[in-house]
Amino acid sequence: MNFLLLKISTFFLSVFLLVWIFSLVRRRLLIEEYSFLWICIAAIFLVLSFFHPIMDKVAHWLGIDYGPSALFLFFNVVTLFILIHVSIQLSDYKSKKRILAQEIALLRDKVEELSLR
Amino acid sequence: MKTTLIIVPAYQEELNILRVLEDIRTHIPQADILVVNDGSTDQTAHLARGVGVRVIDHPYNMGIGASVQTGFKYAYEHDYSEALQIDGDYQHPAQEGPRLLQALSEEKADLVIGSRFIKQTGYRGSWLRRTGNRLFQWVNALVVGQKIVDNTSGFRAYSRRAIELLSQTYLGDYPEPESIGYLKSQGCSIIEIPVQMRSRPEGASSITPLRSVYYMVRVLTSIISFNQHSRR
Repeated sequence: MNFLLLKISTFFLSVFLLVWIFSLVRRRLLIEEYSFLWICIAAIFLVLSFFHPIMDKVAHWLGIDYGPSALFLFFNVVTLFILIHVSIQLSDYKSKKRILAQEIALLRDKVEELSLR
Repeated sequence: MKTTLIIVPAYQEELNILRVLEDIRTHIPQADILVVNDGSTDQTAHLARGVGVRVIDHPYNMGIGASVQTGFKYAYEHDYSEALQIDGDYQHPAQEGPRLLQALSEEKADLVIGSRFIKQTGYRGSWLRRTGNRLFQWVNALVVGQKIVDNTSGFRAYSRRAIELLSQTYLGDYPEPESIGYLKSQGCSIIEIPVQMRSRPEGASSITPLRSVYYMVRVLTSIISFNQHSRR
């Protein structure tokens, strides 16, 4: 079977992802800290698009007959973990945001009390 | 000397807030009152200030867990020795408050829950609500090791120690059942006494059948996770 089309599309997809991520960081729309993960993912795709047999081997180990299916599986699992990771961070921000808002509310009360003295 | 803070979490309660405050002043005149206005866009805060009650305004709506926590932070910073939570929706009759506070000091408890289900107290709630509560009872008895009859009651008295612990802990959208597990894990003593409650007079309760399933899953998750968390 000829995987040329898959190779080419994966290659362009990963290059596009890399360029996009870098431009987001450059325009300060994405902070560097969070770009790392996506750069890694783009790099993995890039490697896989060049070294196609890796994918086939991994698929074989997993008992998957069709190489590209392994790629889908891989991508789905990665996406799942990223989403959980994002949820964790969201929780962290939410609890920190709450602390800040409560501090503001309590401080505002203190300021009002002081200004009435 | 004992100083008592009454924490009144309130969100969009312009129809109820004045009678809640009047009710408190009539029955617990010696206590200070703090209304935690959780980002209401109506007249709640304005009305409360108008009758000379201290109001803390959240900059945006953060939910009941954040509101009671703000109350605990205030109570802790201002050195109150005990706190009583009375919700801003007029469900909790203030005349029962002194009994909760009395139980707190007499039994040396850290948390006294005003419970709707211990005796026939006039409150029944819907079939779904009672089933849900029975499920919470069962789970809580299992993970907390104490049978709590009314896990979701927000009508409660807190000791200084409970105030301190809860001021530092993130409580989510269902702070009542969560705090039971948390306080128990910190070695606090919890007791329940039967109280009368009113049914919601103004405005509809937010709990519908579909929502209560969602609610139950979330509360159960928080009960269980809080206990796991604290064992570490």
